[in-house]
Amino acid sequence: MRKKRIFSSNTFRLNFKELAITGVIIIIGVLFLLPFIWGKIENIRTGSEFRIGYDSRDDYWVYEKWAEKAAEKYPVIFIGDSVVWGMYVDSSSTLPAKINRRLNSQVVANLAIDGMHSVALEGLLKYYGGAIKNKTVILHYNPLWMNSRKYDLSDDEEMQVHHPRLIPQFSSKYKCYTESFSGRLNICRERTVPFFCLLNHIRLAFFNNEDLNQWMVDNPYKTPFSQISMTVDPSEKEKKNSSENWKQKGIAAQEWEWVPLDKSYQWQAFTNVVKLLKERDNHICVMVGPLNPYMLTPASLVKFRKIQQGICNWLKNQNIEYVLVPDLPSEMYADASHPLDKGYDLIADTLLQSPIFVPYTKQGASLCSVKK
Amino acid sequence: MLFHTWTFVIFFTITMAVYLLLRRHTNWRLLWLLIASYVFYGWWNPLFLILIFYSTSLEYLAGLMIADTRYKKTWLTICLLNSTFMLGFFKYAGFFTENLRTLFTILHIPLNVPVANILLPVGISFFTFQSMSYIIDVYYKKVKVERHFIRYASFVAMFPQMVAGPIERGRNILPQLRHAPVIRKLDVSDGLSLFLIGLVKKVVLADFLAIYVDKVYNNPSFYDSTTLIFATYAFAWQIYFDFSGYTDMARGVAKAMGIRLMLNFNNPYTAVDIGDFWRRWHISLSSWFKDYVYVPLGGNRGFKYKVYWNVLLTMVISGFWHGAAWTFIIWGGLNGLGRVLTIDLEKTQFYLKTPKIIKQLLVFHFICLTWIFFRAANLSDAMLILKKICQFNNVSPEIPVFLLSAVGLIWIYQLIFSSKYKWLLENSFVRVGGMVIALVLFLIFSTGANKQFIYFQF
Repeated sequence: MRKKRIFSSNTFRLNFKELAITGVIIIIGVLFLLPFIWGKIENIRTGSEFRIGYDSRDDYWVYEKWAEKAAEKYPVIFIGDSVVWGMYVDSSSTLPAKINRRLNSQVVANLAIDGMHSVALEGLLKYYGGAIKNKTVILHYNPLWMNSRKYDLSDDEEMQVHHPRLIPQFSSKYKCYTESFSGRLNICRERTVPFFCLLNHIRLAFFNNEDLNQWMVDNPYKTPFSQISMTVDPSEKEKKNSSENWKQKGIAAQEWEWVPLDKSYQWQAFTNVVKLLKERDNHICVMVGPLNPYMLTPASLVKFRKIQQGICNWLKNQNIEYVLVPDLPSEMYADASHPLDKGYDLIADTLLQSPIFVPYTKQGASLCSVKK
Repeated sequence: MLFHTWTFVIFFTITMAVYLLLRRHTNWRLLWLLIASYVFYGWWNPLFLILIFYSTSLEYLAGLMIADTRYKKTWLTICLLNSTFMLGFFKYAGFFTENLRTLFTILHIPLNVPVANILLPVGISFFTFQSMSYIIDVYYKKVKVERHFIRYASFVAMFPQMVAGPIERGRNILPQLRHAPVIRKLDVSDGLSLFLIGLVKKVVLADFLAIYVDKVYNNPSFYDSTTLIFATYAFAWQIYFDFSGYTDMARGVAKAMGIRLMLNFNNPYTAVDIGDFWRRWHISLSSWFKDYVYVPLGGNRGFKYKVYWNVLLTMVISGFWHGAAWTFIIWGGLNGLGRVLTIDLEKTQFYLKTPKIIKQLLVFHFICLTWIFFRAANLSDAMLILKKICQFNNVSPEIPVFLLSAVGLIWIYQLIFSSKYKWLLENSFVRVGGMVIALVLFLIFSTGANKQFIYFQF
């Protein structure tokens, strides 16, 4: 008798039909249907004055779900970086929270994330912010990201980029970003296939940002299933108000080089964000600043003012409403751009008094009362 | 370039598309296969290409000289010396200089030998052995000399198997390269099945086990005996999944291209004796050593102790092939010793009547014992691990229960697979269900960093 040829060491040998069935189950069932069902069942807690916690800042699944909720519940969406998010204040003292308190209603949703520079913001809105189309959006622009070629991402030297998973992966522009080719493709996979975004969410929400296999080795007697729950609370839990200003911290005056607008990657990305929001029929108002002018040397301040003027001119030319945050008293800055609690009060008052801003808040308030 | 990366997916898509277009044009197809293989290999370091091109050219020439001239022995010797020198220089120079230095220190000889620190070209042990077997086979007329340079170079550098085997023979591969490949529907589905399972073995199981094994074996003094025992079990499975996963992927890729590579693993942890284990583990290397070392040494001929000596020596050399360290030599020696001590035992009625599962467990545990030397960073670590295991002190054992339960299930699967109940695993529902679970696990675990294959270091 002819000896049967061994196929392989304990391998499943599937024929074409079986492989096709497997493919269909994986692609439809696992990659797309499972995240959809998960999203429907999972309860992401978002109380009043909610903001995405610092630990969840890389959880874009949560951001997407929060954007969906916010678009449903709030007439105005506030987008920006840690200045809007509220770096040195608790969630009840952030800029959106202060505006809401003044309006005595939940009008503005805080969709800002710590470290969200414009290049990353473009990716965030493109891939995870689709739900806020047609909404009124207050878009924060922080010129601090242009203070050097390093933070502008236009430098050639390798650096740790904030929110690397949101920046363009195959653009030759960002030479400071040195992720491997496979790593970049994995990031693109996460953006386009919901299953991978869900996986990242599960890792961040339930496994302390550890890979599952590493977690299982570090917690040898726990089962991963016991960690997962269908209720997630991504809010900020330990943030305390800080009252220490930049001088008390001993920060010296800075001689920043500033990247000119026409050469700045961050500015280019910001203009792309504006374009994207316009395409999505968003009603946009841009908040420029704040930035601590007392921390700059006179020469650096001159350069900054020129850039500030350039930003305003561009916005004017594009017929985009904007608010240029006036200089706050020196003691109201915690550092180069973050205000302290009282600084936020002042900005909130300014925003509400501004003729450009008033229609949004009034509209927001009226919309909110109609909904109620 | 690793099989489980996006880079390879793109590389293979392009390679395969052009390969299929050139399928019927043998010369162009071979040239394309060679270019693709060199791109694959040069991805690690383009300088490695100089080495492989030199080696290929010399062996090709030697093959022709052996076949066509009177200086057969001379060319065989030149070729074998060249291969040995290449391995010795790149792989063993550091080991020899380091040991010479230690020896001089012990003997108080005031000579400062600089320790050679040479970059080891990936897969050198594999492609060197493959070409050595070709030259020896040409000399003994077991294979027809290859006169087509591109075909011979494609055989040596064929990308699916060049860096970690299977170590192929000229008589298996060269005839396959002579004609247009026959790629049937079944070959593609088989190739895909093999590749996917190999991917799961590597990414899900081997890399997962590696985290636990590395943690324990990198600091053995921190762990108690139970943890060390389980980490050793874990390594036994890690290396199996890592290497057989690579082989499955290699065979899958080759099969989709219409090239049949030899079987390299056949459920080794279901072996019932040590000889059986070596007929199931890294089959292409075991058979290489059998054909080119064990048999020329005398093989089974001669008196008993001569045979024992042949076995022992072959296994020690096999250990040394794996790595330039005393731990590998001892690993090989222990395997040889185990085989020698059980040759007669296996023939006794007592052993023949022993239940199969007991024999399988005994063999598995013996192999695990030898793996300690294979995995330990050095000899003193290996001895420390053995000592601590024997002390049976259990302070706070760290055993990733979930992980090892999964491995346990796979072992049960293997035992069923090699038993009369194999039919249970052969219905469509089990196959598709198993593959879906395996792929879901792959998708979950594929988000981590890509780890190198263990055998690439050899």
